Amino acid sequence: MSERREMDLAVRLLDQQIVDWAGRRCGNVDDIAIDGEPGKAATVKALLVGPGATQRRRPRLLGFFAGPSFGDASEVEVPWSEIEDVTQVVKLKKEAGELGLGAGDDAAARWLRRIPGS
Amino acid sequence: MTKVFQIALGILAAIGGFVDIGDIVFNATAGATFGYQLIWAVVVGALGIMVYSEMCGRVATVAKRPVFDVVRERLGYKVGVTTLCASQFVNAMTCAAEVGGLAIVLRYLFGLPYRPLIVLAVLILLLSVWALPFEWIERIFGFGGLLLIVFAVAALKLDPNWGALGHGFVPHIDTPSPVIWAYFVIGLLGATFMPYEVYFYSSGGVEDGWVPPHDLKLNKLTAIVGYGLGAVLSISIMVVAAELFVPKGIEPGFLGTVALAAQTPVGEAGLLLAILGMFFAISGAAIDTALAGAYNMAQFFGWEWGKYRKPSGAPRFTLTWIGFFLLAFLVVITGVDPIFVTELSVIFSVVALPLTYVPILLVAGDSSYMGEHANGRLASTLGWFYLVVIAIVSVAAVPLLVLTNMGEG
Repeated sequence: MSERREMDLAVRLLDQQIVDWAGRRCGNVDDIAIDGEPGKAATVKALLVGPGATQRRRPRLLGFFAGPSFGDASEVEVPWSEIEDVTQVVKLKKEAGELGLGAGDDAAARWLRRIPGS
Repeated sequence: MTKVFQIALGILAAIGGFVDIGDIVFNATAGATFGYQLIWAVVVGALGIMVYSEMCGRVATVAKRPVFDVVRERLGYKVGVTTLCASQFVNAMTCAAEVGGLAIVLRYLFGLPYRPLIVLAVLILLLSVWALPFEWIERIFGFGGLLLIVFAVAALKLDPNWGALGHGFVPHIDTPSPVIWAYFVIGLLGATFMPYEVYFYSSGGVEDGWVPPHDLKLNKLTAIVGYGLGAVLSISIMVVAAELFVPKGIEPGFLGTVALAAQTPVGEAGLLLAILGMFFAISGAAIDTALAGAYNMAQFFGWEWGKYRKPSGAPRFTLTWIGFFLLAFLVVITGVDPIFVTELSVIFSVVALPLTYVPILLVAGDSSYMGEHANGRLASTLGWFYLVVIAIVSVAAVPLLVLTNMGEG
C-alpha cells in the first residue's frame, strides 16, 4: 500500500481480518511490527499472523486455549509492501499460500477431502 | 412467499432463545409455579433481543462484520479470548443439552432405549448440517419448530382467564417466595439473551448475503417477526402450564409432561404436533449452538468460514462444528440430565453476556463504520437500557441459582 493516509493502527489494523487477492480469509492481524527508533519517524514494517504472534497478548490463565494452531506456522510475517488495501478487511496483493498464510486450513482440507461429499 | 422464506433465519435464531430444551421445561415450570405472573419477563426479553439482533444484523449487512469479528476488534485479544472461552463453553454445554433433548424426543416417537437414540440424534444433526445448504437448514428447522404453535391453539382452547393473563404483562409480585420469583425472572431474561442467538443471527446474515439498503428492512422484519414468534410460543407454553398444572399442583420437570399439556385440549394430534415441534425446535437449537461455536472460532482466529462454502472450502470451520456435535455426544452419553446441563451453562453465560453485547452496541453506534446506518437516538437508548438489564442478569444469575437451589427452593 503506497498511498498516504491517516490510520489508527490499533483500531483499523490490529485484530482485523486478512483476505488474499482471491477473497480467501487467511488469518487476522495478530500483531504489528514497527520499524523506527527514538527521534525518527516510525513505519509499519509487517503484519504478524499466527499463534506465535498472539502469545504476548494472551491472558496467562487462558493461554492453553488461546492459540490453537491446527498446523499453522507459529508466526508469519507479512511485509507491508504486500498489502493491497485496508478497508473493512486487510487485502493482500498475493495468494495466501505465497505469503505462508492459510496453512492450517490447507492441512485440514487435505484431511477433510477424504470424506465423500466434502 | 419469498419474504416468508427470508425471515427463516430470525425464526431459527429465536428458537434457541425461546423454545430449546431448557426453555420449554423452564417456561412450563414458570407457568406451573407462578401462573401468568411472569409473562412480562418474556416480553421484556423479546424486545431486548429484537433490539440487539437488529443491531448485529445491521452491522453484518453494512460492515460485513459478524459478532466475533467485532468482539475481537473492540475488546482486544486478551478480553476477546476470555469472551471466546466463556461463549464456547456455553455453546458446547447447550449443544450437549439439545442433543440429549433430541434423544428424549426420539424416544417419545419410537419407544427405543435412550443411549442408542443419542447416537441417532447426533447422526441426524451431523448429516443435516453436512448435506443441507444454509437456507434449507433455516427453513426446515425454523418452520418445523413453529409446529409448537399447537401450544397457542391449546392455550386458546383452554379459554384462559383473560383478565389475569393481561395482568401478567405488567410486572408484579404475588407470591410468598420472592427469591424464587426473582430466579425465574432472571432465568427467563437470561435465556432470551443467550449469546449464541446473536452469533448465529449475525453470521447467518453474512451467509444469506445481506446487502444494504434492501436487506436492512429484511433484517428489521426478520428480528421482529422471528423473535416475536419465539415469544408467542414461550408465552403459550406458560399459559397452558398455568391453566393445566397450577390447579393440579403438577411440576413439569420433563419434556413429556409439557407435550402432554397440548394433548388435553387438542387431542392426540396436539400431542404429536407438540412432539414434532420439539423435534425441530431442539434440533434447530443444537444446530444454532454448534454452528455458533464454529463461527466464533473461525471469526476470532481469522479462518475461512461459512456454510455457503463446501465443507472442504472452510475446513477448520467444518471440523469445529463436527467437533461440537461429537463433544455434545460425549457429554450426554454419560447419562447427565440435559436440563441440568443447560442450568450449568448459565454460569458461564454470565461472563459471555455483557462482553458479547457491549461491542455490538459500540460498533452499531459508530458512524465511521456504519455511516448513515449507525444507531439513531431510539436504538441507542434501547441499547443502553438493555445493556443495564443484561448487566443485572449477569450479576444476579449465579447468586440466585445458588440461593434457590436452581429454583427448587
